[in-house]
Amino acid sequence: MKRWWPILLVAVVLAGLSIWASTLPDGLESVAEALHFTERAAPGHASPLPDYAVPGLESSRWANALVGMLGTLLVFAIMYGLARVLARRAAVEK
Amino acid sequence: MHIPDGYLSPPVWAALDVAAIGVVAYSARAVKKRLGDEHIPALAVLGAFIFAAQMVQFPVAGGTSGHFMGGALAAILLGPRAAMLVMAVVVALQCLLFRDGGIMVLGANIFNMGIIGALVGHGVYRAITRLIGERARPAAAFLAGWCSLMLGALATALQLVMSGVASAIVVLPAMLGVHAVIGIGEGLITAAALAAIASIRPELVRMERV
Repeated sequence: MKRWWPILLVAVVLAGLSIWASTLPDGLESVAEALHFTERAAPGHASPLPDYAVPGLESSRWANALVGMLGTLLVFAIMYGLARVLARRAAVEK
Repeated sequence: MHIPDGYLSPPVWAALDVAAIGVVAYSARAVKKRLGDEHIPALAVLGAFIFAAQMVQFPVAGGTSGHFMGGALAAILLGPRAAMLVMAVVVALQCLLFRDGGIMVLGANIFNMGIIGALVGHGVYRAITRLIGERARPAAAFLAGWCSLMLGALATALQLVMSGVASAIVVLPAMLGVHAVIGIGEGLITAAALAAIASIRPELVRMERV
């Protein structure tokens, strides 16, 4: 793991840099706008942090970036746990 | 390229949910057999890196933005099966925790960005480095990134056509045109990230693929 810490740090910093991320529509969204099918999009499903914002708190670029930085650590933790469970189960099966 | 719910018709998204579950289950079984202790942090850190990098939208031409997808980078470093697994976890968490991409179309998003991204990225990178040799690594990484994004966009466009949302003659050139430009970003980031990892931590690039 020691060798990987610098890359995890880069990832967290990168998520923080998203305060300067472009807010223009992405490739699919801009095609949907040009071809007039954006209105087909259904209202989003329930989720704990919709659109990288804390419900009830006023959304801002800083808040989004902070949620992204914490989200990065959460993705790391979940992926780490999953990979460890997979490796353990393989060891048991052997 | 995250598809929201509503764009795809039920038969299309349901078929892709089934396909994605099948491929991810196969990947998990295959990866499990070859997963060493050194791979566990590799999977976790790359997942976190791809999640974070996907948040940084960069503007491209014509009032549009794009973001890094990461399937090719993951496949080059981890091998295609582990890459599909990591991408599936990233896309699923984006959907479930952050409402990024619809929930019915989660299989479609995993398929377009994760499965196609990893398989195409892996195929292009391996083909070029075998044909020309290791010195072609930066070019191979760039092309792997570009092609993976283009084929992901092509798959998305075909799913829109199959769902009756738009005709092939308009949606194919529109999707491929804009993603040909975003793909340059994908290719550059893939090549730069690989070069950076290779220079600071060369042992990570030589790590056994799972």
